[in-house]
Amino acid sequence: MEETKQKPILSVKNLGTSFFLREGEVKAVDDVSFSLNKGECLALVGESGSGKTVTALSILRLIVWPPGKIVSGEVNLDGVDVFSLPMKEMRNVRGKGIAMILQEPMSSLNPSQTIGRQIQEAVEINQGLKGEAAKKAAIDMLGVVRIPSPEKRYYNYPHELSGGMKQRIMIAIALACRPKVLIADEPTCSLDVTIQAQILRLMQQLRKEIETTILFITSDLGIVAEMADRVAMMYAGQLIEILDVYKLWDAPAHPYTKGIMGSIMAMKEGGRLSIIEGDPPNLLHLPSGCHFHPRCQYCQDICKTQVPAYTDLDGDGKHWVRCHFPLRKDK
Amino acid sequence: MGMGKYIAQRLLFTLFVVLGISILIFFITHIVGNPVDIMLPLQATDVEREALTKALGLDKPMMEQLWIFLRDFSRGDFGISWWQNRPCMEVIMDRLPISMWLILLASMISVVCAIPLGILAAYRPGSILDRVVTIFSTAGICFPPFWIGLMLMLIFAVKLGWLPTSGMGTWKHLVLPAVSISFRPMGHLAQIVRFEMIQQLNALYAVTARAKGVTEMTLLFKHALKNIMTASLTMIGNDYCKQLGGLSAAVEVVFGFAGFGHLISETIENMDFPLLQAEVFFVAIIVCLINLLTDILYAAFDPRIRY
Ligand SMILES: Nc1ncnc2c1ncn2[C@@H]1O[C@H](COP(=O)(O)OP(=O)(O)OP(=O)(O)O)[C@@H](O)[C@H]1O
Ligand code: SF4
Ligand SMILES: [Mg+2]
Repeated sequence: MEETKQKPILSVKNLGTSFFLREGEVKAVDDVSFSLNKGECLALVGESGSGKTVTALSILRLIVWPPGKIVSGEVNLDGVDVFSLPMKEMRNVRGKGIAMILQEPMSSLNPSQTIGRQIQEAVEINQGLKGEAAKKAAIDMLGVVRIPSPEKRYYNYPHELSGGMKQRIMIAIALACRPKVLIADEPTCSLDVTIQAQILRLMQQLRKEIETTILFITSDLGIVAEMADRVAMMYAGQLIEILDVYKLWDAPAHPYTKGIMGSIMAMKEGGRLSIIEGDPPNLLHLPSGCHFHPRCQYCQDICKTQVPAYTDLDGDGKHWVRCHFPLRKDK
Repeated sequence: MGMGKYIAQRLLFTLFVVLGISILIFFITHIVGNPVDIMLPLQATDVEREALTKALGLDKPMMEQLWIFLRDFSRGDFGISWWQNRPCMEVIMDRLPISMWLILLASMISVVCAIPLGILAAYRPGSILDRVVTIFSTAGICFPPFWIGLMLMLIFAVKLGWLPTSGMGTWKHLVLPAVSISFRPMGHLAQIVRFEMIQQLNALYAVTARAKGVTEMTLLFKHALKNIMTASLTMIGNDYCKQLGGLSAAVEVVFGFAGFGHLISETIENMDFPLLQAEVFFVAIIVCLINLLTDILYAAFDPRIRY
C-alpha cells in the first residue's frame, strides 16, 4: 500500500496471524501492512494485547503451531519473500536478516549457559567467526552495550545479572547478529524508571552508531517521540494509522489515536487523565465493522457494518489511516 | 559454600539419617513381638526360652539393648541370619552387589533409550512419532516387568537361543533381566523427557535462540538437553532406589537370579528378622547416597545451584 520513492528494506503486506483456541479463532494480527525504509525507526504502538508482539514474531515465522498460525500475508526482506522460504533457509533471515530483542529480559536468556556463550553463538552463526575471534567479538559486544569489565562478565550466568543488565545482553545478542532490521519489543517495559532511561539512551546512541533499521515496539507514546521517525498504531490486531512522528501530536487522523494523544496531553498539563471511554476490545468477540466503533464518538451507521480500508490521507503515501471518517486538522 | 564443604555436610546428614533409621528399626522390631516366640517352636520349655532370651540379650534394659544394637550395626555386625545360620552381612554381600550392577545396567538401558525417545516425541508434539512414543512408554509402564521378562525369555532364550534362560555367572545372564527391569523406568523417563523438552522448546529463551538463527537441532542438544537434566536425574535416581528396594524381585525370581530383590522376598517368607533389619539398613544407606550423588550432579547442569 505504501508508496515511497525508496524501495523499503522490509515490507509487510496484509499479514494475518490467528490463534485457534477451544473458544474460537483469535485474530491477533489481522490485515496488517507497513514498510520500513533503510535506516529509519518505525514505532509500533498499541495497548497491551493489540498484537504488536505477534506481528513481530510472525515476521520471523516464530509463531508456534498449535495454537498459532500465520493465515495470510507476505513479508519481503530486502527482496526476499520470507514466507515462501523453506524453514531450513529461515536461519538466513533470522539473525543476519532480522534480529529481535524480546519483551521479557528476565526469562529470555538460557539460564544454564553463560551470557558470553549466548552472545558468541550469535556471532558465530551470523558473522562467521569461530573460536577466539568469536569470543573476542562477543566480549566487544558486551562493551558496546556498556557492560563494565566485559572480560569478567563474559563468564556470568543470566541469574547473576540484574534486569537492566539482562536487557543489555539481549540487545548485545541482537546486535551481534549484525541485522538488516532490528526489532525491539518493548525493550524497557519490565524495567524500573531509571534503568528504562539508561536503556533508552543506549538504544538511541546505538542507533546513531550502527545505523540499522529499527522496528521499535512500545506501548509508551512518551518514548516514541524520542526514538522514532514514524509511528504505526495498532488496535485489536489491526493497524489503524501510520504517520510521521511529528504529526502524531499535531494531526492524528484516527479517533483512537486522537483519543490517546488527548489523554497524554491532559496528563502532561496536569489535567485529568481522559482515558478513552468503553471497554478494551475482546479479541474473541470483536465488534463488527470498525472494531473501535463502540468506543468512538464519531461512529456512524456504516462503521458498525463495514471494516474501513486503508486511506492515503494526504495522497503522498505518508499518512495512512483506517477509518471511514478520518479527522482532518483543517476541517 | 564450597563443593567439598557441601558434600561433607550432606554426608554428616546421611549419617544422622542412618542413625535415625537404625533406632527406628530397633524399636519397630521390639513392637512387632518377642523374637524368642518367633524363633522357638510352640512347645518349647521355659528353660529353653530363658536361655535364648539371655543369648539374644533381651533380658537387659532397653537402653542398653539399643546401645549394643547400634554398636554392632556400626561395626557392620547385623547378627546371625536365622534362616541361613550365618552372619547377615555375609548373606547380603553375596546378593547385594550383583543386584546393584543389574539395576545399574537396567538404568543405563532405560536412559539410553528414553532420552532419544522423549526428544523425538517432543520435537513434534501430536505427530505420529509422538503418539508411537507415548504408546510405547505407556506400555512399558503398564506391563508387569516379570511378564516382560517371561516374554523376552521365550523369544531370546527359548526360541532364538541367543541368551541363557536363567541363572547367573556371565554378563549374558544380566542382559534379559536388566532389559525387563528397564522397561518401566524407560517409560517414566521418556514421558518426563518429553514433557520437560516441550516446556524447553516453548520457553522464551528458545525464541531468543531461534531469532538469532540457531537451528532446531542446536537448540535441542546445546541448549535444552542440559536444562532437562535435573528433572531426569531425579527420576533416574528415584527409580534406581525403588528397584533396589525390592521392585526387582519378581524379575529376579523369573530368571532364577539370586539377587537382592529375590533375597528380600525370601527373607520375608522365612520371617528372618535380623536379616530383614540389615536389608532395610542397606537400602536406606544406598538411597541416601544416591540422593547425595544426584544433588551433586545437579550443580553440573544448573548454574543457579550453589553449595
Ligand atoms: N500463544 C498464544 N496463545 C493464544 N493467544 C495468544 C498467544 N499469543 C498471543 N495471543 C493473543 O494475541 C493477542 C495479541 O498478543 P500480543 O502479545 O501480540 O500483544 P502485545 O500488543 O504485544 O501486548 P503487550 O503490550 O502486552 O505485549 C493477545 O491478546 C492474545 O490473546
Ligand atoms: S471508522 Fe467510524 S467508528 Fe471507526 S474510528 Fe472511524 S469514525 Fe470511529
Ligand atoms: Mg508484546
